[in-house]
Amino acid sequence: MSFFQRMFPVFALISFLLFIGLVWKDYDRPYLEYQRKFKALLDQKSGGSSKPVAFRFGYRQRWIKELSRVDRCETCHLGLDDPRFKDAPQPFTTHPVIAEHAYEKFGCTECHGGQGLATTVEDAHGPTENWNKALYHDNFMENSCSLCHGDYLQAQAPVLFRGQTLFFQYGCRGCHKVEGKARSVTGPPLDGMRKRVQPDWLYRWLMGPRDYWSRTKMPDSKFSPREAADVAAFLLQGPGPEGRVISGNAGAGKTTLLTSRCTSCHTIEGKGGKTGPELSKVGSKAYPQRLFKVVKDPHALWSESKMPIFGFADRDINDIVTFMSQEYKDLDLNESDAARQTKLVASGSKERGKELVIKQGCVGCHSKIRGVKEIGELGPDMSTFGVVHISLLDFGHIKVPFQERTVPNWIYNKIKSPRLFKEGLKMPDYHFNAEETTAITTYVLSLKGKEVPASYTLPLGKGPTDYAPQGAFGKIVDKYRCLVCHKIDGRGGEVANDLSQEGSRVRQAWIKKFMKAPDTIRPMLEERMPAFKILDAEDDAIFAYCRTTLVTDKVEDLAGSVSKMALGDPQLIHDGEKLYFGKYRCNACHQINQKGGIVGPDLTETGKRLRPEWVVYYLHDPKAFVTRSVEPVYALTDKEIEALTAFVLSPKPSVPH
Amino acid sequence: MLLRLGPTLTLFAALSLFFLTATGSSVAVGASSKEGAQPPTFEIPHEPVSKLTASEQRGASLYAYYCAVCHGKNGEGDGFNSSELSTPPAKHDDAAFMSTLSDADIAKVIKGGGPALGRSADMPPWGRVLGDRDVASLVAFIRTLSKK
Repeated sequence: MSFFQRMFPVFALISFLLFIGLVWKDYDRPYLEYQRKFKALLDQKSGGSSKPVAFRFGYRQRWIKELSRVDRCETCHLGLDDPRFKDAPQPFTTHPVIAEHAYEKFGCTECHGGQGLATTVEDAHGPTENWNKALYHDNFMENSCSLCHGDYLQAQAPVLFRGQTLFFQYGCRGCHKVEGKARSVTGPPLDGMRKRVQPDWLYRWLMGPRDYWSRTKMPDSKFSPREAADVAAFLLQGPGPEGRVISGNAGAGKTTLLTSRCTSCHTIEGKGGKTGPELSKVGSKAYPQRLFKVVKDPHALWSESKMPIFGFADRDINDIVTFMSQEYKDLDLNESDAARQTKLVASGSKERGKELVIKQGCVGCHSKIRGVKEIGELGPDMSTFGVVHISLLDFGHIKVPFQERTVPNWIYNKIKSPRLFKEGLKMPDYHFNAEETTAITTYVLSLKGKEVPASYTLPLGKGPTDYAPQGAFGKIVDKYRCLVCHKIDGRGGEVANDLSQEGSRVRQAWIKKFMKAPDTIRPMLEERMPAFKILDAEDDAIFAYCRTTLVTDKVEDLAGSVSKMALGDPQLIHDGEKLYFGKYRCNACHQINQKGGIVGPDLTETGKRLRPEWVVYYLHDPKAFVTRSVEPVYALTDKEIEALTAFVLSPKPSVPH
Repeated sequence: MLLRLGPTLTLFAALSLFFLTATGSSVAVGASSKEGAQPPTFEIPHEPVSKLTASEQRGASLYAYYCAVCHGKNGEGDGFNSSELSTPPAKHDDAAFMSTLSDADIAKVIKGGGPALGRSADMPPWGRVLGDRDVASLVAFIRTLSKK
């Protein structure tokens, strides 16, 4: 008998046992363990065991045809739509927003990621070694929201929105293409650098931009000293500073600088706004002649500049520049260092500098670099990067166990330390912190280049419009760069109030007075509106535009009925006063003659500031224009509104004690 | 035949076991960097950003926006507007005080203002501003303030 003949019974037995094993394995699927636990919980939650709770053992599958998804997640996640399981442990917890996101319609994996068909925890949640589709970690979860809800989910998906804002603010779009989003160049043009800045400053700036201005968006290219000197030498070609020497009265300059509220945008000694560059060391950076030009007409030098044209007289500018050049010096800088750096730059190689500028992709953010072709989008296309396959991502020599070898982890680390995976990579370091990195990662993950069926789209939030006023008002808005802080008709900044209905809101005399000497009506706010030298003709144009265009029918339609109200009636004013201080306690948040809360605007001068029909409308519906105003909404009666309006608009002489 | 293959199979199994453990146990290591000081490392961003639940987080952002001006950022009753009020705002970090209020009480005051519970009208009603879910998440967040 041969070996195999002798062993036949043994093999037969092994085969039979294997067969039994397979049948058993198939019968006792891992998910049954969860289903048994869930059944026990369900019995417990249903209270007494009078009648058995209906429960079917076995896998559950949902086919979302429109999204071509097949999900079996509810095989274990059994309490998803049962509110009784709100506090139950996973996998049975109720889905927190199941009402809006019913899984009958959306399934699970469309938003959460993971492997819908799998029925074991490891395979479904991933990542498994050869299947990269893992569940999104909570930190990046919001990336999926944009699929149906569009790009402007500020309230509902703050992380995603922040990521998007950072992506464009920091000029990522300069190098990386994103389908459907216009390229923006965020840095200043680099022409005529020799006329602008001192060589030693440029060297230090290239070595570490954040040492000069801690909040700069300029990334760190990690140049070696030699490289920085080469780049500086290349950028500093051409004629030096020209024009007369600036001399003025530094004391007067200081006064003008401080009263013009430059710190609303610029940082001075660690305090101030984030919009403009650091000023407290600008005397060691820029030549006075250049500073003069910037203050006089920043738009002539950089059409995209956010700085307004203040309209200062040349003498005032001389004073300001003299003050800045004398006082705003880099005190940490020692002269021998500066001299050494200047020498280093002088010996730098322009050719090597040019090569480096091209290699580093400075044109991603900067325009007008001498002799360098302005081709943007040097980096990879991001349009569908959110669904990139892991095999296309190079982890370099870094060993990452497959459990962590995921697309989100790669993107996170690439943004956090751009040159981590390989030496010599181009992307510079933006020094993003963990929160910013998480936000940008979330945004990049949201770029899936995928469209959901129309029945799934539900855009939330409003994107910017292309509002651009024409004529005299348009010129004013452009000159003073109003839209850097204010918003009109959906376009502009979030720093100051929305001006879209300003014409229906305030009186002409008040606008005139405010533009000449802007002060804040909110006790808590620092005075931020810069004091421009507004011309009378401009004042008239502002009011004309306000009253014809920045109006709302909601308010204007009330003018007739409001004019019939006896708002000057002492009895009505008295009734209003009682409501103001008594029933509604408006003084908890508003001040009159320095008394009262400091949450809302000061109401002492309201009669001179606001139009009566606006006050009436506002009391009816405080959220009509500013949906997120902190004003509470009371159910005021018409009579109460009339009385409150009369009181609020009445003159309020401060009572002498 | 099978027996002759035995040693080969054993060797193969041993080798694969070795490689499996060798790769499995390797941890993420940092890239070397010429700057030296602190070489960047591969980070695993798995620490949750917030320890609060989703509902509590929602409540936290609403609280910061609507409530903190008087009740203070951490419910200490010391918001910047608190000194201007005739009745000092409730201290949400005071466990003894908070234990006297049921969730329903808190929700009632948020929706109807102080007078809803016979307290000062300095606390305005938010029932027409915030939805039921907002109020519920606010209550959930306010509860976390006294649990520290």
